[in-house]
Amino acid sequence: MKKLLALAALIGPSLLAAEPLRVVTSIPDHAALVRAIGGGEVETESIIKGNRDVHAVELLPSFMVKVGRADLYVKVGMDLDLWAQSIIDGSRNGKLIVVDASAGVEKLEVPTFKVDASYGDLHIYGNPHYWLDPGTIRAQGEAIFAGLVRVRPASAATFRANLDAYVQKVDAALKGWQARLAPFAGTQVISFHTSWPYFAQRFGIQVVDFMEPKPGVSPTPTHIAALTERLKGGQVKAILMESYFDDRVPQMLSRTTGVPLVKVPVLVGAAPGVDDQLALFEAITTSLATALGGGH
Amino acid sequence: MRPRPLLTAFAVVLATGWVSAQGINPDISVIGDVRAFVTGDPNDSKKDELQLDLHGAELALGGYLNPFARADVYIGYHDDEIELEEAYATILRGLPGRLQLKAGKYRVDFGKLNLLHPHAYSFLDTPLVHQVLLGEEGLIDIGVNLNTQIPIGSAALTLSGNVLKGDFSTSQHHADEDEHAHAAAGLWARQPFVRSLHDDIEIEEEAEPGLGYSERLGLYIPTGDYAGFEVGLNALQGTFDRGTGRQVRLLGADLKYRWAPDKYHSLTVQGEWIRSERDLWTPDEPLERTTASGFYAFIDYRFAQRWNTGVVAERAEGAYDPSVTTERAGVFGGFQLMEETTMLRLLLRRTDGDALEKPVDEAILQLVFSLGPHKAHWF
Ligand SMILES: [Zn+2]
Repeated sequence: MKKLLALAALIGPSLLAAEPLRVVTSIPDHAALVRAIGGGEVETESIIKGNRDVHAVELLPSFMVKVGRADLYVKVGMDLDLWAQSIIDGSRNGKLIVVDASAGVEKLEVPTFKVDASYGDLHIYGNPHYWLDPGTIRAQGEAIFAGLVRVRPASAATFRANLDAYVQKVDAALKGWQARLAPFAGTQVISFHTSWPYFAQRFGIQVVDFMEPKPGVSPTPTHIAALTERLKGGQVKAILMESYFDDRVPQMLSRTTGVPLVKVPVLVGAAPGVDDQLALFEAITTSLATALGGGH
Repeated sequence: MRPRPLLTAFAVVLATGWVSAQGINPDISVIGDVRAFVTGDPNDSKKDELQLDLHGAELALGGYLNPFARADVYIGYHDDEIELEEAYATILRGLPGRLQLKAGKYRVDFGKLNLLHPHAYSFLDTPLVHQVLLGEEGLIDIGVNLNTQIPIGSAALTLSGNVLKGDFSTSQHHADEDEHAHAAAGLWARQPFVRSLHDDIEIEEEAEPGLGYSERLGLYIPTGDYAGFEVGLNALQGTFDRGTGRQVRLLGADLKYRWAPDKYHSLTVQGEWIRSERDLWTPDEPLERTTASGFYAFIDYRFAQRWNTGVVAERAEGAYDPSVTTERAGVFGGFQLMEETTMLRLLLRRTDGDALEKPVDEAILQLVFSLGPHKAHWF
């Protein structure tokens, strides 16, 4: 009996360590980051899968079940995924640790005026689409790292090494993406939704207008007419659109004005083969460089 | 206007002001339901004329009490009355056994639809079977709810139980008392059936309801990343009057299927069947039991980001006289002006029943506006 207990005491901790750390994230980009940092010690899943709109998510009971089993939840933050709080509440999980991946990110477009719905779906903490800048990977990663360490302090060194390695890989790739987009610095584009301020700042692209007349408001005929005139002016070189939108109106706009349409994934998993940040920005850079370069 | 709910409403608003001053702002939203309608109801003095109505307005306040609990208050204006519709606190997380606890006045989880406020219904009005068997605006009572969720693979089994004060059992009686006031206001125009279903019921004023109990078992099964269905079984036991021991028993079954493949399309197919057994008030005689049942079913299809359309069919037997049945069917369409915050809905519907000489047709145009933070939609 004593021997058995001794054996159990010996095996116990190692069995415990083998139990995966369960993480649920709002977006697949953060799941990819969790995988990169946590390695084999984590099992992670995103609430949003594939080519979806992050702004609107329906609360399915299966989400509550997933989060009910989780140790850690990673929010996008900045009020973008307010729905995540309802999922967390519905999970009934009192032990869940919640981290906000935007915590260390330098925020853009923080309103300096009183925001209300007349501005459309505007967020009081600023534009929440920070994950479209590979330069914010470090900040996002640090927030996730802190959460993982709270759940499993013993693995802090491993997580730290993994995070540093991933950030280095992304930083190296970033130099390449910047080099390929450098010829188009200052180029004017329009986008469907206001998803691009972080990306634009990083790569020197100018987003001068949007298909949506106000954030979250679908294009109106008068707005499209105004855009058509603007695009015919020849200053705007591309229509950049997030792939979860219906592309009929942008296609039409592109046909009537001759300005190329660049339809790109804005989430990991939104296109085949886009399984992490490296693949996501590779896809965006390639599409954009091809479209902008084609005109020259 | 009843003074007490009004006072409560003021107290809540004052308390909110105080809380705001402390820097802890609860979320505040306001919802309005404005209608223009034409009815063919012969009992309506403005039959076949265009009529306007502020059908209802609602003030909702809610926020977290601590990381694990929140409180929600809904104050409603309907039929020239201000009423405290709901006021409850919920302990969401941290209880043993993955339990959630709710206490206060709330919409009871008898079926899935009853949890929603009627302004969220694509078909505009509380289903007949709810009005007749649950209460004029659905099943709302003061109580305590305990529920838990058991994962079965990716499926979720929800078990829920309520202890209720018993006010729900009198709500239909109140509907009768208010009948003349309603008729005078022309409000029956939209509800020609309820009168027929409640006619000739003698209600003793001193009836003292006893505690009620309700239970729900719901199983959600995902059939894809963004599709799934839920089947539910519901039961309720209540005592109308402790003196005579008159009781009410409800049994219900509901089904909801939803498929939402992208931003622009979704399909909801939903229905519920309810059966009631209630003891009649028969002086000097042993209790007599009457059984009634009814259902509603609807299909709601979103075919563009801001457009949806669908059909609804309903049937209900009189709670006290099942031989009086009413049927109602309608087609509806909805359009969001710019965003979800402003909805226009059109409903064309026909009501027919034993108490009506001929079918009554109605056309209702509804404008629903909602001010305040975006709320995510629950399955
Ligand atoms: Zn956005």
